[in-house]
Amino acid sequence: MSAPTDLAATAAPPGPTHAQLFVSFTKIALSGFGGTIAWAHRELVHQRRWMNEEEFTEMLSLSQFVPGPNIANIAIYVGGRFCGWTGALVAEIGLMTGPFVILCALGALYEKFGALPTVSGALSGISSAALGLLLAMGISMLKPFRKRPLDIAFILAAFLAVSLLGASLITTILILSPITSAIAWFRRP
Amino acid sequence: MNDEDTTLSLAGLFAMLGLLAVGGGNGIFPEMHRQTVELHHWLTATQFTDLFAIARASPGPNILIVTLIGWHVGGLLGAFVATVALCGPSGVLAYGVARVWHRFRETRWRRAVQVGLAPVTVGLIFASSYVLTRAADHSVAAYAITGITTLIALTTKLNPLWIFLAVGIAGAAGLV
Repeated sequence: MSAPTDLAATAAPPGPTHAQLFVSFTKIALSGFGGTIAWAHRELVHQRRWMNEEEFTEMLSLSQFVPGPNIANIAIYVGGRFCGWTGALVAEIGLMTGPFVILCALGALYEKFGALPTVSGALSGISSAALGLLLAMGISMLKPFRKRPLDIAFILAAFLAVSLLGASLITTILILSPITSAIAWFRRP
Repeated sequence: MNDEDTTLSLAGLFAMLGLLAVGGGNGIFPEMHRQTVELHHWLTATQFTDLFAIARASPGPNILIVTLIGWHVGGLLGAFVATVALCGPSGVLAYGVARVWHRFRETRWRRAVQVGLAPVTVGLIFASSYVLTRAADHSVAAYAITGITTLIALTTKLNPLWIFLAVGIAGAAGLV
């Protein structure tokens, strides 16, 4: 009874295998219209029960801390937690393969038919709407800063630097984020 | 520039953008636009916003517009290289951070960096929507669609796919 294998067998529900990781993240990627995070939460916490709410929240915080799409970082975290780096790789490939195949097909169609007036008309309508969604995302992200004029100033600075002054992304991030982080450091009690 | 050079610069550019994709990555579009349209002339401004629309209306992260740009520039190989370049380095970084996360998640500097990145991220998202709106050959109808979609997204929980369907039909009919 004291063998490590027995201990492992009696521990919390077994974690996923590589194949299960692949299937789950393929599912999350392909059902992810309008919010992959919500689907990931459903799949990982409620359906598969690979983690609890608390761990999911912690993982979300990590995924927002490192660069890259949050859902890709979630895949890497979950895969890595249960199956090491090969698990992270498999989860990431599971997440990306479906969209990759679909986008290649759409890319090929676009090369062929993108110049047709009906297609380019439809796409310019959709891109206008997509830009509206992006703007709405920015506006709703302003909420926590309502009573923080200094933060608003830095939001404005980042916006102006990239949009009107033509500063590169790397310059903007490397100059502004150390300042804003230093301010956050001193503002905390 | 020959094909191999193009594929290499594609890889270099998207690897860098992947590492700069703070706060989810919606702030990298101005730089991506500047590099691919204005500096390298891999595609026109209209093609860029077309691909942006396709990526947004398809499953997967919006950032996978790089797959479409890669396809446009270099077919299947281009698409593959662009996707791996974007996800690879940032993925390795995410894996590394996840492994040591428990060691510094409670530290003051980690919170300070995360809190500090937030306003920069929001500013970059506004820059993205501004630059891409200006870049597209925008008609009055297109501005109206952008404005109305913004309002709908802020005030309702309507699935954006319905909006895409409606404006896609309107656009195909030549109304945009």
